Amino acid sequence: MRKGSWPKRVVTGAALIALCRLAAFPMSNFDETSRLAALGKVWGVLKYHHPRVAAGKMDWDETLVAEIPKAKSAQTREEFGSVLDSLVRAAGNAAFLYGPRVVPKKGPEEPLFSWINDRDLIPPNIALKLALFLDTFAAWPNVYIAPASNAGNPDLSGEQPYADSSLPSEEYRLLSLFRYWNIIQYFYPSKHLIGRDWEEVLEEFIPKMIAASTSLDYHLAVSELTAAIHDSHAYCVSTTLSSYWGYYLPPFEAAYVEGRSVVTRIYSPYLVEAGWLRVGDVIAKADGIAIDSLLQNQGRYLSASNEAAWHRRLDLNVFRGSGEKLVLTIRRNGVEFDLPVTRIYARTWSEPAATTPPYAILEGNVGYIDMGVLKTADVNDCMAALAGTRAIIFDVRNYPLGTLYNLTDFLYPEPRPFYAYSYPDFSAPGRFLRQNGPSYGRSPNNPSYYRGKVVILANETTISHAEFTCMSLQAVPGAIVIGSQTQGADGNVSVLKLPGGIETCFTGLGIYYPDGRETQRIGILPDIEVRPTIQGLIDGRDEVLERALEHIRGGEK
Amino acid sequence: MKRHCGTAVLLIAAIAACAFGQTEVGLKMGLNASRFAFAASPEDSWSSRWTSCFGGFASFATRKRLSSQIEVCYVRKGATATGAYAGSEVIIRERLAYIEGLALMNLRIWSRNRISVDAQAGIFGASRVGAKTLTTFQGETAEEDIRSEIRSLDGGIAAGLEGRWRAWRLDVRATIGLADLRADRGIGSSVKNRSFSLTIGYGFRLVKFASGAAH
Repeated sequence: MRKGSWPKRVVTGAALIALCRLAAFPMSNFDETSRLAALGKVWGVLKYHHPRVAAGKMDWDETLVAEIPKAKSAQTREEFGSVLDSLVRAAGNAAFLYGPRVVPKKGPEEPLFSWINDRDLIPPNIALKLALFLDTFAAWPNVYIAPASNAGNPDLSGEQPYADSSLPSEEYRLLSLFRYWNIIQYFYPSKHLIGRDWEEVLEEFIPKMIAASTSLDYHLAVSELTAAIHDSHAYCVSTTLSSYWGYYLPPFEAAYVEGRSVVTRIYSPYLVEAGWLRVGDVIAKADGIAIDSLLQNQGRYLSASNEAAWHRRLDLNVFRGSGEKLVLTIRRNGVEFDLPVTRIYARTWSEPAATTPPYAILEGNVGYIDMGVLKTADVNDCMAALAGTRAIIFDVRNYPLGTLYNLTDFLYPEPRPFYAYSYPDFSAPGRFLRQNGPSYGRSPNNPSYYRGKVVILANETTISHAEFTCMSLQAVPGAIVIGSQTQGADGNVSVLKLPGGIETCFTGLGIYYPDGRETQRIGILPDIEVRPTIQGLIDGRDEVLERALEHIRGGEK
Repeated sequence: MKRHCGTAVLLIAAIAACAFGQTEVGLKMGLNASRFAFAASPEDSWSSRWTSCFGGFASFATRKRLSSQIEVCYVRKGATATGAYAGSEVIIRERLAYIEGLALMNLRIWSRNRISVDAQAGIFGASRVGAKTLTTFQGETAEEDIRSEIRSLDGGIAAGLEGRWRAWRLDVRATIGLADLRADRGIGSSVKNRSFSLTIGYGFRLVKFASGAAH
């Protein structure tokens, strides 16, 4: 040892020991947010694991509401421990009466329960009890959650809505957060795709729920929370939000084209006839506010699985308003001008009826099916009419009407599955079961299946059942997708009510290709990416369809 | 508490009435070993709880070999589960306390000189006076009140042997609870008390004093 080096070594050693300790034990604070987060997590574990809570033996929401002020004011670990103890006691603490075990055999294996080992917040006896409940008991049957009868996604109709006031008390706002957080934590099949630590989300939103001083603050905070799961199905609806976003809808539809908001469809015949608003017009401002600024402000409140879906939702939302009048700043041919338009009251608005036929034979003996129009009853006639075509274009840039099951009878050479799915294991919250979907197509084989090319058109309007339809068509040998990324939210929707008259939903099933590839957030990816251009819209062209025809004619692979 | 007091007063009155009318009244104390009988096989290692018990009794002869007996005892029941979790030992002690009243029939099956042995059988009813769980884990012991989860009344059958030598009695007895302990019987499967006691008692022959006065 060199003379004089020992102080340095001591300091280095102490620093190393400190670092090791930091690495070995989870970091935790004992501030209000941490305490409330721990309370919400313990409440959630008991909600879905304690047999008496699951059986609805007590008002579990009220129990939480009563403990929140105590958790907020707890000054010491012992005081907070007694709050958690009180919560466990309210559920029922004589574990030997409920099941075959009082000592957990193993610790919680799932990382999502690692917080139980945070001794700064969870005392040993509470941790032991939680571990026991996790090890022994399950949520099923549970008054708060059940598998939906048709598909197995969570049915959350057992939750109390507490819709009397649009601004619930602080305790009920936190209940709202804890309810939502725990449901996503244990029953959202795509939680692994959220893209951030879900526990961080809980801690981020506790102060927001506490700070919400108006009903709008609270409802927007919930919107932001639901947006955090990045699910295009995660709408957040309430009277307060409808009033804030506005009951009046624009008389046109806009889409994100070449990085700008562009008019793609006009509903008002008056505007069309007068030529004031044209498809292909770029919208620079709405009521004097730059579109980019509107997108920025509203973006965090709208849930979307991917960027394409996010722009789609924004384009549908930013031109809504609370009054009829809307002044658009239009950019056309390099000239910018203001154009007043009249919004349509939402309740009187309806999607214009389709005027196009459900199917047709295009030039070059190419069949075309508008999947948004084709009805189940028309499938036989449609496929008979298109049987001799060299290709069929299935346009799924819309919401199909459940025809995929009949179509597979004509398209598949033999029965085959086209999807796999996952659903919550209600007996082990936090786990999901995955299995292949059934096989579709004529059994045992189909010698007269359609042998022409199958081309699928999809884009950012394609969501949910439309994406499912695309998957069924992709299973046709040689099928090809042309267009752009879809919304990435497939699978049955679970609806959840939150205090304050808020209703939200999420994708309650995971949907995959049979080989296991994810579709949530990813959607249907095109084999040939084609996006409309502003000039194409001005010219009235459907560039995606054009590319499909070109592909069929052999111009491009 | 009123209910417990009422039960005790009634039982004491019954003992006193029987005692003065018939044979003997006395006090007893000893050891009680108790455990739980689970309808579903437990997965933990449960051991009996050994505690003391004490109370009073009254007995009176009805036939030459037959006598009846009433007892009121303070009995502690429960059991202890042990195991290991997260590298630490876990000890969970379930502690129940009852005031128990027994009505027994005694049949003398052997006697020589002043020593006799009676076989006993009867029923018991018990009123719960305490219930708690003590959990020891990672160096901390937490106490939880579980009275709300344990039924306030228990009942069942009792059987055993009683040896007598002069005024002394030695009882070996098993009691089998027939009532489910769970206050909420919609959850889990039934749990019942079982206990085995060994007590020593001393009796005073009150009837003898009364008949002596008559002579």
